[in-house]
Amino acid sequence: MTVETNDRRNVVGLGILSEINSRLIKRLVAFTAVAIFVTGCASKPNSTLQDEANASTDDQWAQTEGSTAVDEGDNDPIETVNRFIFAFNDAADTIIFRPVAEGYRFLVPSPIRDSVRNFLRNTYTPVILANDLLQGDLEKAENTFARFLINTIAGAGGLADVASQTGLEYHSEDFGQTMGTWGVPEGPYLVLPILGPSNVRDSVGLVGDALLDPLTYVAKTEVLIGRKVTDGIDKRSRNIETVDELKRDSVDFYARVRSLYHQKRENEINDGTTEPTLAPGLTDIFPEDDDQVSYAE
Amino acid sequence: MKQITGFIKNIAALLAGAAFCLAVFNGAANADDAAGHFLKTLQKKAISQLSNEDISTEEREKQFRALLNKNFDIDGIARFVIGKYWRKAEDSHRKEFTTIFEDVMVQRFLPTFSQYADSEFKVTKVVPKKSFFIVFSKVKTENGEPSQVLWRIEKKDNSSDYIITDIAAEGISLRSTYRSDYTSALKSLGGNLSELNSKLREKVQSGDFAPKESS
Repeated sequence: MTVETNDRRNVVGLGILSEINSRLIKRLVAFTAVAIFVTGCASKPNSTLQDEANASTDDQWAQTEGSTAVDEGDNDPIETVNRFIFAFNDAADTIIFRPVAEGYRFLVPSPIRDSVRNFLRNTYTPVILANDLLQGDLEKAENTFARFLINTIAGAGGLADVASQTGLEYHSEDFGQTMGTWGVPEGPYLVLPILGPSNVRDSVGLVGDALLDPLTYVAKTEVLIGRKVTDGIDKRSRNIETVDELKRDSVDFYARVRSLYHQKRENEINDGTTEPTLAPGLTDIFPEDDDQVSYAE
Repeated sequence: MKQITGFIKNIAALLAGAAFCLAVFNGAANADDAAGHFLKTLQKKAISQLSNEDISTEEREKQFRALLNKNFDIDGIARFVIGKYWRKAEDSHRKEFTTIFEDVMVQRFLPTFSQYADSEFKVTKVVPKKSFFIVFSKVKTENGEPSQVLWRIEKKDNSSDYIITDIAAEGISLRSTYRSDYTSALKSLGGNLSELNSKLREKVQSGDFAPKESS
């Protein structure tokens, strides 16, 4: 009797597993196809830009603009659309997100907010671990795995970040970064509704991260959305002053954010440790050909 | 007797050799580190000036402005951040822009440098490039995490002095960031530098560039 029920349970368990497996495989295949497609697309607009920059050789500035990807105008072929979505996001932020984030920060004491963040971060561990491995960074993967074990067991299911006190600092990785380390170009700049600044590569990365996350297949949609929203509010509540400052400080807020997003992502792909001037395929923070620019008329 | 003089001679030769090596290696190290030394000296000077509680706010700003003008390539950075629009602009507007940009820098960075003045500052390495040096540094504030700050330093023309031509904190370069902002603004203003000047002046007057006290 007992053997039979056990068997049946196993069969059911396996059934679910294989169900998840086949779904996972299907999605991964579809996803890989999309990634390859995007890689192809993303490299095209860049090369046109390069051509345009090279075409106007009489303009020395244009030449440098083409070679330093950290730049205005470049890499934003759908600027009008982007600016529209950016304005929409900004309005939504002023009306909804910033007040909610401020309320959250005002009402919820800091230790609890930290616990919320720790817990959320812990639930994202599989995604970070998968990306660590896909980037071939075993050291980071080990760090991520150790953090997960320590924080889940000693940190009450991830509420306390015990691991960081033992020197295992949190780090974040996403599939956009992973593709970046593989040499996938960023593609045109995109502003996503609500989600904010991105580019083609990182937008695909968002889908990739969802697919790499086991919770996507297990948890209810409400839970997943709830987690994303809480994460968003937590992040917004931690940069209220920074964003305010940025807005006051800049003349063209949109252009400022676009540049910062690009530079931040480059740095993250570098992991901030690699010497920027040596990392292959990446923009120098201080490009060498700056020197060829003559300021004389 | 002969043996002893020979021994002494040998020792003397050895010492001379050692001294020579020491001088050579030290010299080599200095040549590489000169840009780093420049930065360290500057940081020490900044500490003594900016953490001086006895001086008035105006006096502090005056000192910081002097420090900025002597050690930062404000003119070069100002030219860089407006890109191709510099070439098209009238001379008077350029001069105006450079002056206002200096004000922007003072307002933006005086509080930051004051805050960072007594933080732990370490030069981690110096990488010589074709015509400039990249000085890597780690800055650690009292309760903050250490962050990597890169300094792009050039040798001044016809002198042994150095000048800072860009700063990048955590991969964000000052020049590139301002450049994308200002050139984009100029594009929508039809390349009119004097209009950007008046916009910036308004912002300086209302203190928009000063970072708020972080909470």
